[in-house]
Amino acid sequence: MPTLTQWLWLVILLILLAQPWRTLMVSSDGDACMHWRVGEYMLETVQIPIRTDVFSHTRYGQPIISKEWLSELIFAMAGRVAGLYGLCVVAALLIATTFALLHRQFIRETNNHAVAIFVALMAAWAACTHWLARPHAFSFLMAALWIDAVRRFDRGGTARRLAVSLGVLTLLWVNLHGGYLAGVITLGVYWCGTAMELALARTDPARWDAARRKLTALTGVAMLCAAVSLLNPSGYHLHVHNLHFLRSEYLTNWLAEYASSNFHDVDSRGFLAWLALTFLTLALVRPRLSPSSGLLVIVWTYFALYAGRNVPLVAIFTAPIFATALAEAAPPWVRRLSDRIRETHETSRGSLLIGVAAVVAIAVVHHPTEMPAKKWPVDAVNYIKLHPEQFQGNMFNQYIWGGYLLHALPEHRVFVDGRTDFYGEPLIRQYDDTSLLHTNWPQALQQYNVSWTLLPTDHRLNLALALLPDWHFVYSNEVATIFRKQP
Amino acid sequence: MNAASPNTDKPTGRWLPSFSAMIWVVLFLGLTLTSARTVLISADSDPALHRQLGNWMIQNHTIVHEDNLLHTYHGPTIAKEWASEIFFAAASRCLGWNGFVLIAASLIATCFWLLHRQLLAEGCDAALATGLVLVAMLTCSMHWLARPLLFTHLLALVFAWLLRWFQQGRVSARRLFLVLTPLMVLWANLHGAFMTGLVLIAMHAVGSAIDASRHSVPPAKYKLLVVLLLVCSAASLANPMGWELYAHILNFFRSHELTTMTTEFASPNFHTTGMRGLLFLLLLLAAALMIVRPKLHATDVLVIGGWGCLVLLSARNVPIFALVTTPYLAQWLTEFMRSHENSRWCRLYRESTGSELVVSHTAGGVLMIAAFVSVLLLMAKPRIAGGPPILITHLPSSRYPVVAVDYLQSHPRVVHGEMFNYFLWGGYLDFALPEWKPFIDSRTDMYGLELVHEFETANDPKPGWEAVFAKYNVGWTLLPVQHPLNQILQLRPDWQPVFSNEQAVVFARAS
Repeated sequence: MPTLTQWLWLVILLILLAQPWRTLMVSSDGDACMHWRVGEYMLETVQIPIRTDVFSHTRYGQPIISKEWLSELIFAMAGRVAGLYGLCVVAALLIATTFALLHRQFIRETNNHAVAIFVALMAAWAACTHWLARPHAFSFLMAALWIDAVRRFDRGGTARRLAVSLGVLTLLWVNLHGGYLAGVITLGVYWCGTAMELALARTDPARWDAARRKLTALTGVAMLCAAVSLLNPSGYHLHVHNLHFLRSEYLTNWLAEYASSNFHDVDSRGFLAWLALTFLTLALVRPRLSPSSGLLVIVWTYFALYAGRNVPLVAIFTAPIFATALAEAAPPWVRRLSDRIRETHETSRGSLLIGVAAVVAIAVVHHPTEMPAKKWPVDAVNYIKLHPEQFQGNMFNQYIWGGYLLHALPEHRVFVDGRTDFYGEPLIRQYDDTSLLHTNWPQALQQYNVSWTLLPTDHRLNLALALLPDWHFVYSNEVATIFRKQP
Repeated sequence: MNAASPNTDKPTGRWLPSFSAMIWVVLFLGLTLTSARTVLISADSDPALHRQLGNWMIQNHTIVHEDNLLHTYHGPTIAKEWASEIFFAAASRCLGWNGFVLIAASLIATCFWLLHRQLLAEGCDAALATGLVLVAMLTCSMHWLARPLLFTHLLALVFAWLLRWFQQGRVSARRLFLVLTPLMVLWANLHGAFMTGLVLIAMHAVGSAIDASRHSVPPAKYKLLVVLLLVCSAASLANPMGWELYAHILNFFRSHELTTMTTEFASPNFHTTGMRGLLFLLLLLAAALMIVRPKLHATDVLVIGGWGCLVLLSARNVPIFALVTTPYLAQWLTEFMRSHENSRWCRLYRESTGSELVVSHTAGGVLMIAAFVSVLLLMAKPRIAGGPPILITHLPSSRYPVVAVDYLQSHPRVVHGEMFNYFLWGGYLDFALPEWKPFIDSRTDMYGLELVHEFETANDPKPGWEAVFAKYNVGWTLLPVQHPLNQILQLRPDWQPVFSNEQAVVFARAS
């Protein structure tokens, strides 16, 4: 029989490969398609990574920071093999592995199998709002490996092992996804926590000496990670670019995934449950947390409250703290349940069975995956492909559709897509002015010589274009409407 | 300093007002004599709406039962805040907008004066109590608006205080019933959020039941609280609408679309500066739970966790969360400092906060009355002594279409038919432009979803907006300059702009 960790891995994998999750992973926004297209272009042109933009007409030829080139290549390779389903498989494997690794870490740290599975499931529930086939799925895995390495060190591991682990993880993470900053923040929190321990241990020479050695090791590892993080195609420009983007209040307020969670949504229930777990653990279990653990809980809870996209990270980074606290305070019946699970766990040899089941689930069972035509302009794109002569010149498109159009209409360049950090605040403001029909709304259409638009049918801009003599309606269904300017 | 028992060793300050009174005075003067006055009445247009409704009730000597403010809705209305609307309107009849400011500032200052008194009475030292009250003020300030909601803040504090003291055995059941029951009658007529009081009692009742099952409190307590809940629920029916008020409020909360349409019912947006106070309070609570590790009763967990959950669901609950949780924070920190009084940090704290002084509550009371009367006289100067007002308070033309409204009043013939207005200006137009009825105002709980959907179709605008205009015979619009509908109307030959400035544009259908 497989172990509980293996079961957890398989169950998450199967859920993600089943409907409706499979479709949701690729179609919740246009970014899955966008990353696939960028990766595909790199494979086609053997230009790794891309140095200048070739996908938009608004920033065509402008230098680009490829902060996710490695994951885009991996997604593109999977896409070549199995289309959108390939993207789902990569993301599902990453997510399932993340939570299986977390579960294994909880068992190792707590030796309580009941608490370990409970906390792993709660963390998975909180994180599931962002289970999408995008490079940030790599960040989940990296975060799980990162916190494991840091906690091993914090619990008596060697500095050498920490340096090797975090050095390798930094090298991978910095080329896989811009979320590598999460690792930097976590390491910084441990550094601050250890500095606090040092300050509090002034009267205890043994504790003071231990804290000093730990702080020295963390400082060295942080410097190593900082140096390794420069090993990416853009060098230090990557860090400058990311910080520049995060400093833009306009863009972070504009992007839906940077918004605070809306707890009225069913999707946020998992996060609400996670916050309840945090509060109840602190209030009822009353764990003695080290300064590092306390700071980590506060800092990541703040980040998760600030931006919904950080919710999976708060679950991954703080779950081991709560697993340990809950295991220490577990009542006898939980310990008995844990012992019973442990007996099965220790005698289990189910890797082969799980492996076969996963291969069958991935490769043998038919999994058609496509962008749903009820949400995406699939029919409109088909119309454009059938009538290429009507669509000369530049397009103005709905922001959220940009990524899909990169993939579905590679012969046309978009006005904007999900690479908001690349387009920058001025262009996004221009897009907004036109899209929201501000007084200067025609300006962007004129400046970028837009000759056709592809927008949702109930979009306000369609109403304005319908009233202009030089624009006329070309195509419309319940999802999308196309207007074209008279030549 | 401590306002508690006098001590002969302490330095005397017979004429020194208490810290609580100082907080009241500083806050009251800060809100009435600075630009905060304008913020209180203009952060949204609801004060204007309440003023208009209150004026109507005073003029007609009856509570409003039929809506007569909008041209799109003619039907029954639920006057869930009639008493506070009359109160605010009566003040504004004497003092104009300054009357609103006077009531709002008094309510806000009294709220934090009471909170400070509570913390001191529970044994918290004055420096810590003042610090925590400042944090609570920072947290609540995002909802310092001259609206009936302020009555809820004050009453929620009183309910939470008395319930907490009942749990601690400091208030008898008799006193609890005698105070909370009439207050509930008052609350049910002052503001629609009177259910906050019932939620608080329910939390304490459930918590006490759990604690009783673990033998940490006597079972009689939760039985009394259940009876109190029933009595207060019955008392809340003493309002002009009776049980229909409950049905109306619950119906509103069941509609996801309506609750998310109103910003204050949405989850807190932690990007905004208004939420810094809440973040700081959450940080303090988390740090206290981690460092102090207080032993909590089930009631404590339910009250803090329950209101924490309600805060995440609706930003409107932020002030109540702050007022309810601050005494817990004060208790934990006080106990922590007492148990670590010999530690270096506590010694440093004691040295830095100085020695205790004897203060006079009489001096504090005199100071509060003097501040109130002085501001009242300043505000009433044109009525008493004539001449121009000293404290001018009005709705700013940078936020509301004041100039457009003046233009329409002086040129009433430029527009025909009914108005279509910007949602956030609805209350202002109810008040400032009574000659015309707006399309919508903030009372979304009353109109129902159909009208809200129709408004959104025209407001976005989406296909079908013309049908909405035709249905309601809309002949003119009053919208912010950057509103998308203006650009559509600009392109239509049958519409023309009749007024425009940097704040608002009026389009009228060509006659």
